[in-house]
Amino acid sequence: MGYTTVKELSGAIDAAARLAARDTPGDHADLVATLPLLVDQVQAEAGVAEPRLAGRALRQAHGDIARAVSLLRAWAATLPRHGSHRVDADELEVTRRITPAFREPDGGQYLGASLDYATRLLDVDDRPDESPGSGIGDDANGAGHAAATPPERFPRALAALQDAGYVAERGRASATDRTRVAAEPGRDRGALLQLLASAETGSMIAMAYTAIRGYGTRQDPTLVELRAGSLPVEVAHPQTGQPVRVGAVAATTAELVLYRAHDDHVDRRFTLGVGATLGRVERRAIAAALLDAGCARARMDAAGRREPSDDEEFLTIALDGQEATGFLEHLKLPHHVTFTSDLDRIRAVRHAAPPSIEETQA
Amino acid sequence: MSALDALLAQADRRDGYSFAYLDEPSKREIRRALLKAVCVPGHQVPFASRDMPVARGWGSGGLQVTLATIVPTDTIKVYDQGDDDSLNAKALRGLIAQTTGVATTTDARQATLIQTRHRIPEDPLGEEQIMVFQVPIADPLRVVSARPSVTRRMHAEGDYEAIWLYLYEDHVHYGRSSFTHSYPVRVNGGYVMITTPIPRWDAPRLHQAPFLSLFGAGREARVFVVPPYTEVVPLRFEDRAFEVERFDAPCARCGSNDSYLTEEHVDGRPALVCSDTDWCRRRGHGR
Repeated sequence: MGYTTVKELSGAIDAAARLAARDTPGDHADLVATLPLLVDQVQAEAGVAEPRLAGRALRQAHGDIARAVSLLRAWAATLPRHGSHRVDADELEVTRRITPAFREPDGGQYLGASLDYATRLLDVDDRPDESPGSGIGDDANGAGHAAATPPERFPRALAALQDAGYVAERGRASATDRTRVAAEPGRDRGALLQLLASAETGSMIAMAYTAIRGYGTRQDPTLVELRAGSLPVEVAHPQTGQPVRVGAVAATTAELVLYRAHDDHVDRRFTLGVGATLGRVERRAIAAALLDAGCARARMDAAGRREPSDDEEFLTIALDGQEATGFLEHLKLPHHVTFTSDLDRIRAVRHAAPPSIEETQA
Repeated sequence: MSALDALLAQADRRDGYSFAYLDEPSKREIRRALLKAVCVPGHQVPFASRDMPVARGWGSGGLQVTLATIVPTDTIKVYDQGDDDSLNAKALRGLIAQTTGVATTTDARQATLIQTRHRIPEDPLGEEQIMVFQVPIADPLRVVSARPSVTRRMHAEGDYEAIWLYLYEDHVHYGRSSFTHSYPVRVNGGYVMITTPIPRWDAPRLHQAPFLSLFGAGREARVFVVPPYTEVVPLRFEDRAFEVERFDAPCARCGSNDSYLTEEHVDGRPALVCSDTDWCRRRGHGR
């Protein structure tokens, strides 16, 4: 028989899935141990802190990050919500802290685990890992801080700037959960921050890059502080109502300020941007902070033209990876009914004579 | 058997998921949005679209509407392009059937709930039937502005100047409307609504239809509704025609000349055949 459409004739869905399936030896714990940043990225984009399930999702998705995120989000969507509890960013138990804005801040810098300064030479040696700088968690303490464990608390580097009045105040964001209430990130900063925290990594980097590349014209960003560590998870005790710690999640936070004094800009202070992500993919937190600051700055210049990177409405549409990949890939679905309609119009508009009412209203 | 017994009987084969997959608070929220949409025909009502076990843009909105609406006594039909065998429809139907245990059918006359992508069945439908449309783009004004903040204001103010101007320019340039499928319609004399992506052929069939039409856009987190017996009028100038798709030949399989056709190969040659495969089969192409 001739081609009609992709049809379920004899178990085609299952057969196609079997064809796509590869023998993938090893278990999910391996992925968490050997590819921790990949597992972190899946957790961050899903907005779900569960490394073992993220590893499981990655394996089930054959390494397709977007599909792994989809699996994890759909799983989480069916779970009941047990309330929310606000955690102050100061409660982050820091394992890494850098302050690009200050050489020697109060509390010092602490390099922690990082590949940032390891040379990017491809290691083709199969022997057990002895090459320098190839593993997170190696001896990587910052200069002048040989201690194996960092101090429990670091003062916020931003605090000094705020005390001096150099930073424009930002209101406290609402704790909006876009997955449970219809929210508009354009009008609700909490919803925007949640969107940024779970944004698709590549899309968010691209948007943030265009901002510092010059499309966001209001920018001269300085990263004040980047912290990585673990955030306590607390719930309200069912009897006392007091917060009780029930666990911790790996998280990274970034605080960044924008400088620009030009065009009679009304606020001559720095504009603060904050970003946070689950896990340790640090560029996610930095990009989120940059976009948050850009949006805040653009809002102050009401008359100014908005670039995509400082336009909440645009970011809302562009940054959710599930929406973007899903709609893009839906083009693979059959469209012959609508295409027939397109063809009908193409033929019609190529003719000059308009139709009569009689011939089309039969 | 009571409804509760029926639900309990199904509990074992649903792998720990609720009846109809969604948790009850989610269903309630979607139903509330739908009820609001029934009260304000054609208005796009926001809802907190859930992450579903299908990709966004692959029927996640229609699926949520179906799952929030379905009851154990329903008989469901899910089809895509008029074809019950289309793979994504098959996957969605499987998920719905697996999580509810309801009966499935390909015969539109037997179905109480019909989830569709791109078509309305050729069979006339009745008051006891509900149509659920999978919606990719919820806003008819998307063609004049990509910004929801702009089009929302236009809808709120009943300001449809821009889309009328779009239509006017079409007539100036082409002598006719260039809208293909998803033709904009005015619902109940109020909101302009997109007839998401059904062909123009199907748009007039929403006018004063006896059935309830529910539209679910999962990615865009909107639902909208055409209640039964509601006026649905395609946008057109009084002295200009609304044109549906025209076909030069009858269906090569069943001979129909009053159904929506698409091109495919029959016996090695391109031919026009009905897009509604079950209807066509019943009309007697008999292969």
